[in-house]
Amino acid sequence: MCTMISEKADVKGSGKKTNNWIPLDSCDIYYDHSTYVDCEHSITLSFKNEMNPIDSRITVEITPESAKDIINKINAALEKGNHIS
Amino acid sequence: MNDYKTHDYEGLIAETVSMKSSNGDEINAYLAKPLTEGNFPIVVLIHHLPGWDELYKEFTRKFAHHGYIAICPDLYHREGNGSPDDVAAEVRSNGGVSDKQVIEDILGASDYAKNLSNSNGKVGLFGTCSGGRHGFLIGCSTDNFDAIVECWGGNVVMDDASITEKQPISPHTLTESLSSPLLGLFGNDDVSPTPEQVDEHENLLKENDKDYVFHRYDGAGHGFMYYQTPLYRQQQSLDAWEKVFNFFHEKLRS
Repeated sequence: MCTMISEKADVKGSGKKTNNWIPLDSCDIYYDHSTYVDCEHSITLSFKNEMNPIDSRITVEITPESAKDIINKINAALEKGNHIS
Repeated sequence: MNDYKTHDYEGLIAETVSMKSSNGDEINAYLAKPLTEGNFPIVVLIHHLPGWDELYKEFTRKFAHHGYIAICPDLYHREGNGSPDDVAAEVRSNGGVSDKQVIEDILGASDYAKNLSNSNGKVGLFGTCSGGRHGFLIGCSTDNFDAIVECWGGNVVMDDASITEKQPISPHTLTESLSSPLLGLFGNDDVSPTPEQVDEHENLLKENDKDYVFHRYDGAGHGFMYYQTPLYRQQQSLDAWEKVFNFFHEKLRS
């Protein structure tokens, strides 16, 4: 809540809010004290559409270990996908 | 911690009010005050980075329950209207709110409360996390306050890389100007601020002969009074609340 360690990524994608898919164009990534997940610090991914940043926000909070695992698995999936295309 | 008895009448009102920042902007604040007769001291609450949330409204009512006029301005009011965590995320995305604006909003909240008919005119500040930092910063930038409680203020001691247009000065460099007694509450497992940063903060207070007391808890980290998070530490939190109320009682009721 006090680290202010924050990064921002441009995104071209979509996300699901309850029943509807919405376009997303930005993602804030921050490392800070967790809000809900049971660990001291967590990684938060906060996707949004810059046209309506507050109401469009889709957020997940995960442990640093989970974040590292996801990064590895995304890279693995991208590598396998590259072999197909 | 409380001196009321079970047969006493007790009542408070808690509501959203519109107030003027000292820069003239209209913003919302959450105000809680006793309904009983008397002249009550004021506590201005400076909410944390997660925003103007339910926890801070509970804290505001807690101070009113203990006989204070308590007011907590929405420091993120200008950023938009939405759930507190969504608004706070947008503020974070934009690099926070400016120190200058926070100081103006807190001065406005203080003036609002001082103008209430049942105020005794003495004002304390209470803040946690970024609000703890703001509390110390305001104590060094104004002489309007009679007591300050700084809970685990992250970035009181900032390195050059952390300085931004919105946070242009590391508060610890202003220690010489601190105008109010200070109570500091910290967890020794915290990493923002680290124990070393708290040491530096405290050394400067000592060197400048300031009226301060620090309590540094073992077995606790950041946010150890946040009962709704995994950070909560019951024993340390109870002790810290007692110290907060004793400090404000001594500084604001005499």
